[in-house]
Amino acid sequence: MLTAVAPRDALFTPLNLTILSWVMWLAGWAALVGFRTRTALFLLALGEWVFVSHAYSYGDVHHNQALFALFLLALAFSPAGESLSVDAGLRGRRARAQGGEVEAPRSDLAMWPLKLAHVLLALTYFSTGITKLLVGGFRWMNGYTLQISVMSDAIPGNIPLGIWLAQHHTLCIVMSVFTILFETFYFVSLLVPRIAPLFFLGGVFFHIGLYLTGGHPFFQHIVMNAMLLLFLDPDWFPALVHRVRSSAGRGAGQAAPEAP
Amino acid sequence: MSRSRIWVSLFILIVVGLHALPVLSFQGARQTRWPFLAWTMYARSYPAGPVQAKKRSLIGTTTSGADVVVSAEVVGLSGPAFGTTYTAPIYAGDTAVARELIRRVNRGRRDSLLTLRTSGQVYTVTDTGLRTDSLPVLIFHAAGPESR
Repeated sequence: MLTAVAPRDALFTPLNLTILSWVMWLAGWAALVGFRTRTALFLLALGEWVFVSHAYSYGDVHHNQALFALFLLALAFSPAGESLSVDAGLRGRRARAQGGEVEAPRSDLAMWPLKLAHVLLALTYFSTGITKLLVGGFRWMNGYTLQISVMSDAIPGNIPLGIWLAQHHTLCIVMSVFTILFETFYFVSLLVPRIAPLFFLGGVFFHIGLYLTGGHPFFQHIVMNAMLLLFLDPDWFPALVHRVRSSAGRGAGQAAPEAP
Repeated sequence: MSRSRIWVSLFILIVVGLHALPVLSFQGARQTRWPFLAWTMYARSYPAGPVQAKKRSLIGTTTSGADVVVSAEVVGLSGPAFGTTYTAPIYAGDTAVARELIRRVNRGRRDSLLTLRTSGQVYTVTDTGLRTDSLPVLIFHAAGPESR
């Protein structure tokens, strides 16, 4: 698309790509601390799209960045940075200076990027899970399939944990069954929110496992699953922290009389 | 629920629902229904049998006699693209691809490559651990004789 308006040789030079990467770094930090949040998020998303498309223009198209790129763009169109951010702090200071009250903003749109990420993850996992069953059949869970797949990645990549896993047939059967169940039924987390945290937690460990055994860098999916785990249900995480604190407090209370 | 919200919800449901299309009528690896595609990577299954994996590399020998590993980084491609474009055809004995790779690496290089050779191992899981066997070595010249 860009090359329709400017010559390719003039656009994709080392200098231009370096400048763009610096703009992305700045935009990323600004987005993280919430300074000019939505503009920063938009620039970051745009830069990510350009870099990912550029990397994929050399003959090998992959998918690990795709969902996160969509999520970043969705964030730019949400009321991101309205609450806990430098922007919000500056707005509050201005309001107080004028003698006004600072109200905590609420918006139905705030959850949309997270809900979109949830739906996209469910679609992606279902697609990969059901395709394994359609192409490979139930034989995909025979252990040999995972042994060969893991070994094919771990040997060229010198990944010790993958080489070790590939030599354990029974463990590979268990991991294959887990993979199929996790991928095919992840979408259930959309329908039954109560069990959704289990899938999100499963997703985090699933991708950490993939990285440690096969070197697959799905860090974006780890981030998205972790975000969904912590923030999709705004009450879940604070309630969990409260429960942990209460039980820790009870434990300390019971232990106290025994102390000398 | 407002009328616009109903339309937007309906649109989302249709888009989500259309993802069932490549699943219900699966076309295999070469699919034609973009953007509704099923992802086939790692979908293939293998029957019970030897568990093996290959480690393949390409070594170039320069005019000064030095050995240089010709990797994806040297060429400026991603690992999988380098594997598909160069490693796999060269291991299959494709001299044209080997010469093209030598030409590409030699572009702007003072100590240019004269030959390119394969250097690989196959690893097999056995009851006593991993067994390593060497793959046959193929040698390609920048110009002149074919691989031997």
